[in-house]
This record gives sequence, C-alpha cells and structure tokens, in this order.
Amino acid sequence: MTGRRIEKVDSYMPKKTIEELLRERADGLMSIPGVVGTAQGQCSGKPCIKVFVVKKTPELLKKIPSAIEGYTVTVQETGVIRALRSGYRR
Amino acid sequence: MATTVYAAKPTEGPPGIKRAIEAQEAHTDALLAIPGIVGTAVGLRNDAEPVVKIYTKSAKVAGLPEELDGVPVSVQVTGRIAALDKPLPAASFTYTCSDYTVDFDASASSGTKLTYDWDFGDSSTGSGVTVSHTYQDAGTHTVTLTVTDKFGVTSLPSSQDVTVPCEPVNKPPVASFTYECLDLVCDFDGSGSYDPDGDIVKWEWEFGDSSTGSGVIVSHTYQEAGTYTVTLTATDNDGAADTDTQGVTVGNPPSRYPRPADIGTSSGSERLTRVRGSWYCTVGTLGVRLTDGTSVYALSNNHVYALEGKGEIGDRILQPGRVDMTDQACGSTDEINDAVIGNLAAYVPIQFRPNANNKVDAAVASTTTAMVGQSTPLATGYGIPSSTTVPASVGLPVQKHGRTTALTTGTVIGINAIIVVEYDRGLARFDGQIEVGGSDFSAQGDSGSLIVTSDGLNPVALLFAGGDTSTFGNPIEDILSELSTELGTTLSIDGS
Repeated sequence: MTGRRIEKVDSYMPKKTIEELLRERADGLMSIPGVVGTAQGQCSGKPCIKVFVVKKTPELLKKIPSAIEGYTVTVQETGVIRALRSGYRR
Repeated sequence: MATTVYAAKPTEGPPGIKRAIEAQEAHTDALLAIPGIVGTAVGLRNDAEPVVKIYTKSAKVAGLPEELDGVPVSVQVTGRIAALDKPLPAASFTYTCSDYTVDFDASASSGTKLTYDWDFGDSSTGSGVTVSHTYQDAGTHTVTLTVTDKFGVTSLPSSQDVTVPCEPVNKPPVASFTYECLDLVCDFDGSGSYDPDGDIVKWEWEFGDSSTGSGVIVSHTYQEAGTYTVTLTATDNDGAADTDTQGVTVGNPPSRYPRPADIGTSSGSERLTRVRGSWYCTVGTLGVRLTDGTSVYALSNNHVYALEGKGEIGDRILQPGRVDMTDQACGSTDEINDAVIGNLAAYVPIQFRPNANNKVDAAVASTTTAMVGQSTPLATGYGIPSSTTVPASVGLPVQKHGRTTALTTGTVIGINAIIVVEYDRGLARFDGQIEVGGSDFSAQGDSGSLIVTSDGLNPVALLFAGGDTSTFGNPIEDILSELSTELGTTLSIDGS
C-alpha cells in the first residue's frame, strides 16, 4: 500500500526530524550561558534532545525547555568539555 | 820560576839609618848576585843600631861580609821567599732543570774543605755541594753561590740566571669529530681537532665494528643497523694524543621501546608547548595506523601531534610520549631519540572560535611498518581493528584502548553533537560529534584513541575530548576525508 506513513503524534503537524529540529534550535540553546553542547540522544527508546551544561543550577534549568516540538529535552551535567591530552611541566 | 824584585825605601828613622840605607843601596845588586842571598834590608839591631840585613836561603851561605861601608851586617836565614800565591776559593756551578725544579751542582768550585752557600734568588737559601730547589713562580731568578774554605776565606760570588719552567711542556691536542649518517653509510669529520702549540699530524679512527681508518675526514659503511662506539685519536707533532668517543646510531636502530609500537599506546610530539609561561610536554594516544596504499601513517589528534597548530610539519613524533619517559622530566635525549616513530606529516587546523564548525581534531605522522604496528597491546587490547568503518548510532556498544585507561567499553549515547571544547588556545566549537556515555570510558591522555565497535572491531570515531559524564569522538569517516585533503592522498584504516 502506498501513501504517507502515519505516525502517532500529539499534534496534527508532522513532527520534524530531530536532526532538523536541532539544526534550527541548537544555536539558541548553545547561547544560554552555562550550556556547552547539544546532541541527539535516546530517552526511553525515543529520540530526545540532550543539552550539555557545566552545572545544573535551578536558574539554568528554568531557561532550558523540558521539551521542544514533541521531543523531550534532557539536561546532562558534563562540566567543562576538554581536549583529553595529558601534560607534564618540564 | 820568575822572580821579581820588590824595593821600598824608608823615609825616616833613627840616627845613622841614612848611612845604612846608602850602604844597602850601593851593595844590594852585587849581593843579590851571590847564590843563596835572597834579599837585603835595613834594620835595627837591639832596636838601636842601624844594620844592613842580608836574607839568605839557608845557613850554609858563605862569603858574606860582616860590614858594608862601616855599617854592620846582620844575616837572617829566611829560606826561600815565595809569593804568597795560594788562590782564593772560587765558586762555580752548573744546573739541570725540569719544569720548576732545578738541581744545582757546585763541585766545579775550587778550594780546600769548602762550605757552599746558595741564594736561589727567590728569598730562599741553601747549602751543600749539590742542592735541589723548586720554584713556586715562573720567571727568571738570579742564583748566587759563594764558597768558603777552611781558612774562612770566602770566594767571589758566582751567579747565573735560571728561568722556570725551564723546559717548555708540550700541550696535548684536543680531539673532536662530527658525523653524518645516511642509512648505513657515515661520514666522519675530525677537522674540528686542534693542537694549542703545534699541529695535528695523525687522525686514527675506530668505528666500533672492529674496523679502523685514518685521515682527517673518512667515510665508513656499516654492515648492519645499530649504535656503534666510534673513537677518534688525534696525535700532535710532539707525539701527544687525545681521543673523542661518541655513540653513533645507523640504520633502523634497535630501540628500548617495543617495536613495532602497538596502537592504543602513549604517543606525542617531541616539541614542548608553552602555557602561561611554563613549558610542558604533552601526550595522548596513537590511535591507529593508516595507509594510502604506499605509505603508512600514525593517526592521532591535532592537539596531540601538532599541538593545536603550534607544531611544525616534520616535528618528530614519539612513542611513548615524553610525559611517560622516566630518566628525567619530559625524558632524556636518549629516551627521546629511541622513541621516534616518524615525523608530523599533516594536520587539520582547528578554528578557535565559539561559533566555528570544526569537524575533526586530527593529525598524522609519517612512519613505517617497522615503527608502528596494527595491533593494540597483546596483554590488554582487543587485537587488530577492522579496516571497515561504520557510522555511529545511538545505542551502539563500543570499546577503545588508550594510553591512560587502557581497554574500556561503553555505549554511544549521542550523535550529531555540537560541543564547545576547551583547549590551551581557547574554546573551539565542533559539530557532528559522537558521544560515548560513562565517566570511566576515558581520562586525560586517552586523546587519539580509536573507538571501535565491541562486536566486529569496526572503527567508529577518534576520541578527542570529554566531560564528567561523557567522552566525545570525531566520526572516523570525517577524519579520513579531512586528512586525505590535507595530505593530498587517500587514506584508509590499515587494519584487518
């Protein structure tokens, strides 16, 4: 049978792919002070948006939506993300 | 024997002395002609009566008058009158000398039962027919000898100037050489040798492989690779010699580190990096061997091999990195030389901007299959990675072997990650990154590790950054394509 695949969604608008959504929204999320990254993840088997932060503070959590266009947003405290070399002072 | 007549005329005396003088003067010549008469004089007999004295050699002289012109004659047996010609003692000496020590010999002096007095000209004195004296200071000293005989008569002084050190001491030469080797052929150059007070006349070489040579510049071909002890002996025109000995490494040298090196082990640049005024050696992990069909390369991060773009193409790349060397902080020269596996060949520049679109943090060193192998360490690794890469997907089980945490397993929990990474040079934004979950998947020093699938060992990503909860890697396909562009050749994983 041909035709459009129907997904069970909470609204009548076809859901953007998470890739498309992140492309649109990543810069906005990254511009929040304390946010060091975003990624596509899986939360309970479903695609979700991951936001990486230096520290999960109540103030910061208020600024990050818990869902965007149907995708759950999960906040992960990575701390500062660093290049993983080791150094020794001579 | 010559005789000399000495005469003296008195100018005054008691009465009648004038008559005695005239008598003596008138007859002395005739008297002296008489054998046995040795002299005449005018004197006083009994302290009052002027007389003419006749001196005789012996008592047996006959025919002597009893008076001369009315003046009485007194005969005195003096014996032979000889000049008192016993010589003064004479000082005379010779010497021999060695450096600052002078040996004096006064036995050429003349005189009876002499004592010898030396003045060495440096405020010190000595005695004895032979003496030895050591001078403290260089220079010329006037040495004076006087001798005194048994009568207490002292000679005139005899002086000579003595200069110390009195024999020039030959200065030895200084041997010195440099060398240059290409494969097993070395050129040795001894022209840096010199002699401070003459010339070098002979350069003799021992090449450390039982063969020898001579000449100021020589060439030698070794039979096999290795490190040889080479000695140059330089000899000067006075026969003194000096040596210079150096260790010379030729060919593909044996190294104290296992060769070929395993992938997934400590690796870094020889170049130091300066951060906030201090110098550091840095280290990461040798990820995997790459090939373009002709040459092989060691893959790691830009920030490991090219020091965030501060390195230079050609920089020596080491396995292990200097951080892991033990002779001294950041390694000794010997350790560093032993650790060389190749040279920085290319790297992808990183844009240090918070809005940049960096894709990879990658660099390669040109190397050989003798230097870098295909397998992770036998004891701790997973073996040889597959040459076939796969894309990451959330939920994919992966593993890696790195310098710091060795073998660890994890799961991909994020893809298309956009992250801002902190480097020495500042923040750089990367997108399209792969996130592996778990706080113990990696640690500082694991940068450059190849992340492969647990099942199949297919390369997925190159580890480069991490936070408290996650590790991040560049997709391996992006690594290969961006490095291929930099190098101008098509790179692929050199695995199984």
